[in-house]
Amino acid sequence: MRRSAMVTVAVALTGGLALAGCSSSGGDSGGGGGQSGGDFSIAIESSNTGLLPTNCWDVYCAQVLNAAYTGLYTFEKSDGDAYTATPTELNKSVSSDDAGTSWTISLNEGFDFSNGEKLTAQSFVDTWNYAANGGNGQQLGFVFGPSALNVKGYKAVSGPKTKGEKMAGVSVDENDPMTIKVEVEEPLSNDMFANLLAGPQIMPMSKAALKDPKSQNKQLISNGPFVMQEDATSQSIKLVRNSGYKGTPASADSVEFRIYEDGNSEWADLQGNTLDVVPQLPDSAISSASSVLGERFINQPGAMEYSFYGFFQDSKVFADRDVRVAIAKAIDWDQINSKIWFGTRDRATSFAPATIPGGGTDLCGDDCTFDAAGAKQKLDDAGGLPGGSVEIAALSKGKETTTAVCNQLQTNLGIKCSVKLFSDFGAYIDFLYSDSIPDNFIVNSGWVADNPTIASMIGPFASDSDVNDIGYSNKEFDRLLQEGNHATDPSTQQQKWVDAEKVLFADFYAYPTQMLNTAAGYSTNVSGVEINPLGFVNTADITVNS
Amino acid sequence: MGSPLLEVKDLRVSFATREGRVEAVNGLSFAVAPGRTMALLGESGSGKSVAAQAIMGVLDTPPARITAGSIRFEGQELVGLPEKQYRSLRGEKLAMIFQDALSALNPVLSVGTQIAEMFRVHRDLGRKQARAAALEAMAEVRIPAAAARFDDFPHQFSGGMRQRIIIAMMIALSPKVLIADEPTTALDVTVQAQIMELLARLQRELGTSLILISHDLGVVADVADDVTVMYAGRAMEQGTVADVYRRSANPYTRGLLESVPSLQAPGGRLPVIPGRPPSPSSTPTGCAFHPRCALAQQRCSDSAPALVAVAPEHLSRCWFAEEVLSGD
Amino acid sequence: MGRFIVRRLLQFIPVFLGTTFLIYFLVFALPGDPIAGLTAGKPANPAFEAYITEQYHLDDPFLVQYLKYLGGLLTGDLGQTFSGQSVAEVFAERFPVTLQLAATAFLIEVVLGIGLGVWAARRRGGIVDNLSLAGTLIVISIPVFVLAYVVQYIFGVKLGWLPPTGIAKGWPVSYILPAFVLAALSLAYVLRLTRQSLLETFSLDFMRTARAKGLPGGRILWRHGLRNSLIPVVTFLGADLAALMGGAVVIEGIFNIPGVGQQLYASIRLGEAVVVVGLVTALVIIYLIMNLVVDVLYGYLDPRIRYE
Repeated sequence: MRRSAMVTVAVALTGGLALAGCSSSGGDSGGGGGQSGGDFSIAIESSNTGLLPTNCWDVYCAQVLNAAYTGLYTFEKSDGDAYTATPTELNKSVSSDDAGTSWTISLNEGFDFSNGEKLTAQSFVDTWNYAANGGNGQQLGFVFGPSALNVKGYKAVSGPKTKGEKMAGVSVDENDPMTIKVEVEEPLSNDMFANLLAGPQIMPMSKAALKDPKSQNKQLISNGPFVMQEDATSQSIKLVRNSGYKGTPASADSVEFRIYEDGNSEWADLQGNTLDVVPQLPDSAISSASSVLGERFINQPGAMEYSFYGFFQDSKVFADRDVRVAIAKAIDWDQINSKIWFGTRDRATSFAPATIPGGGTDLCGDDCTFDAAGAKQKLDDAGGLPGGSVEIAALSKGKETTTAVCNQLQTNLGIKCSVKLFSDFGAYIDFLYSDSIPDNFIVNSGWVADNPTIASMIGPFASDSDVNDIGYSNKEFDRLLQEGNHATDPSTQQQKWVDAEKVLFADFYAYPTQMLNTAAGYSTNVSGVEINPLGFVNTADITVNS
Repeated sequence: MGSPLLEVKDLRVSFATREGRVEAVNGLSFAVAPGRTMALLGESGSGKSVAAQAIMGVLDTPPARITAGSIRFEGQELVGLPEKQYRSLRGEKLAMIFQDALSALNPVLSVGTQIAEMFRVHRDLGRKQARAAALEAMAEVRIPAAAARFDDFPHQFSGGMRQRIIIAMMIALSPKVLIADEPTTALDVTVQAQIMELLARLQRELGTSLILISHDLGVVADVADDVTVMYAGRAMEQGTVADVYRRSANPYTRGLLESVPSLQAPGGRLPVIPGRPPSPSSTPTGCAFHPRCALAQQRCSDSAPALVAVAPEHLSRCWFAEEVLSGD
Repeated sequence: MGRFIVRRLLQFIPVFLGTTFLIYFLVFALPGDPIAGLTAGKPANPAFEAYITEQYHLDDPFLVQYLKYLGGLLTGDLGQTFSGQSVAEVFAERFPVTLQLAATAFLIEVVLGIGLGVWAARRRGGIVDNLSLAGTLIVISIPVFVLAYVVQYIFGVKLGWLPPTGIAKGWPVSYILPAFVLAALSLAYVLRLTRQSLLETFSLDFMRTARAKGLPGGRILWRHGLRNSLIPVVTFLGADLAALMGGAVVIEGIFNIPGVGQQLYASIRLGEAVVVVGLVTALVIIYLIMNLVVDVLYGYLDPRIRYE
């Protein structure tokens, strides 16, 4: 789970980072089953983590790793619009004991590494231990920690200097080298276990890769439908179809991941058809994407990313709930989404979109419905806004939107509103955790989920969350969230999470303002381009037109 | 005098200024015979430098223009001569040296290169030969240690040496006519004498005609054969030096002569000509000198006198030339 | 001259120290939690945070941090990118690209700038003169990134004459558009400077002397006129080349040229502080060297200048 869109530094002109979480290709493909051959290119930006599955936590490196590896899960649409973690062809079976704390994962044979090494349960165990050991400095080690799987023995290995230690709770079945055993401290449902392993996903690494992790940036060793043949450079990573792949083969002959620093150059190349897929269109392209690309413009609602406004619980200005709701009701998000975002964002009525199981319902109701007169009435009834003015934060990307919001608040509520611009994300966080926050400050932030669960969408509001920027604390919310996380029955789990969401809306210290869409595009050279709500392109199924 | 080498007839040169066109040279005529020295004497603003540049054909032609008159060199008309032909005359037959030798030399090329350039362009010599010829020229003008100083730059020489360099450049090809525009004005007295002596020697050796432009009566008296006194762009008096100096027939010339301090008669106030020479844009009507002339009458402001002979080869432009001549 | 050069080289040392300190200070000591910038919003995994703090000595007082970095520098360790590539390697990979771009831009501004400037001065008031003045005024007034996008769109996307991004087509094809945009502003200055300088030189006395010598017009222009009037132009060009080497960050970003500038752009975005410091320091050194070269060259061009 991590903060979203606001993340990019002022200098960058690309669209916000979409999502983390990994989905591996190689699952059942829809159309484009056979091999079309041909080569195509995808735009990514440079990643600060490198091509290491244990460290990769942004959408760029993950895009490459998803094409090169086959892990345990992918995210597929199950029924309706919702995505769930679906086992891959490598994943034979996953089961647990009744308590939900003892897990067994069985692997299928044959998904071996491109350097000839065999993939076994040991590969997973070694990779996971490498990630968990604090001394290796791998970002995804937390997956095994108390905030996620909570594997037994994690604490012992997670110290800052620990290297080469093993977690007690992860092991190879002594009778079967292709079976992994996992022991966790607290019960998990099947879906939860799958989701925690699927997003962010840590792909299994070969012994050679674990011995020399730095080499992976140039010479990736992987086991998926595409493999690296020529060395990667800082401008381009080329993968070719893995001829020895035992799963469903990739359609194209090769895929080139081209590294761009400026989204506008991606857009220029896409228009010229010299670049084939742009998974995140830059903001400057959105207004003309539809007319320029026509059908090749992908505008999918329900990306797992939302923007929200937050109020500090100890603020005297926003102490009255009616004041907060009045502010919410005074903003016409539909207009902003259509005029500024050209329909690539939707008004949010809950914290989870329909692409998440249990999401897409209207939990906010009247409180989030635009009604200028009603809002003004509400504010007047509450005795007006203490101080008569508000300040809303924005990064450069959100400046236009926030200015529009301020105008609406001024017009509809008659209050003063100003935009506080921050040059980059680091400065913003610094400010949020400083002592000098004015009482009338409205936090403007966002969130990206790691996997399609409501818990992943509402995680930042837990009292003990490191990224709880508004300092929100409600014991009942915490309790419901935890009960949901560790419920073994699926419907109980959903219910608990929805109830937790309802608590958020009842308190109204934070409410979601926009649900983002996936806005992508592709050239005339390719077809069958699909992107999941986490922003991952299904590279194996893209066909190159002849 | 035999047929003149250079003959200027009724030369008019005008400049474009903000007030319109003004005449810097207003009907100048003179002639120079082979081997003789003609001085153009006058105060600043009299048009003497402009006339010299006109003869060489190096006027800045957008602002300046020869509007009338003729300049004949060896019988050939120079006014309107195509540039290519004119260029072949410059440096070869017609040469000019300037007042400020430092600014007249290219600061970033060595002096040797600049002298050798004459040979490379006009005589088509190769580098080595041109260098040798340049060294010879430098020796001619008595530049000491010429070979060592060949590669030095203008700013590394004294004023007098720089003038010698310019002279070396300009006499290198033994021109027929050398115009010297105030060649010693920027130099101190002893160096002045050296330079003038050099010019005189070269003139003797090469048989060059010299047109000396100066405001210095003493230098002119020493060096020139003939003199043309200029005022406001025209000749006021012309003749041999003896005629003009000892038997002046023009009030302006008289005024000039009287204002020169004399060692023979020290003391007493120095007589000066009242007023100042007119600027080309505001030349008085009639006789240009009349506002400053003690002898001026109504006639002088009504109409301009013509250049008239008061003796053989002695001309004066004044309504009262005879009186001035006799009223010694 | 030798002593002059040695003195200037020695001066590099305090300049180098001062610059690295200043850049290090700017990057590390400014407000903004470096880890938050690094992890870009991900919850601070305590083990990871501890690892980064250790790695970059973030717990040490600033001066200690700087001294440790300096120590690393002197042993040749300029630091690493997050993906494990050494900064020196990154520089070695990227600098040739920037060099090609800079050289191409330089060529354009020298040939076009001086050529057109001379033409404009010779035919003063003519059509080339007027068009040049108008054209340069427009270029100077438009912000460079606007020019870049417009040029990229018209020639790269719409007309398709040249590749809109990247260096796939190699030199010179891929470099023409970005080099032209990069050169545009300097070209304008060079043109105007050449023209102005030449016009001023025309009115100097030694030009009249050259004419009086009967030299042909071409020789007067090139040997006498330009030799003198190019002195200010050359000094400008020298400083400009030094600046070009800096890797035009904006241009490289827009045209996706994998040079030093683009790397800086990426590293700033990713929060790779040591890379930023390392690259900028290297660029400062290059700038200093170029300036020295220009000064020495100036001494040769104008013999009136004497260095001790």
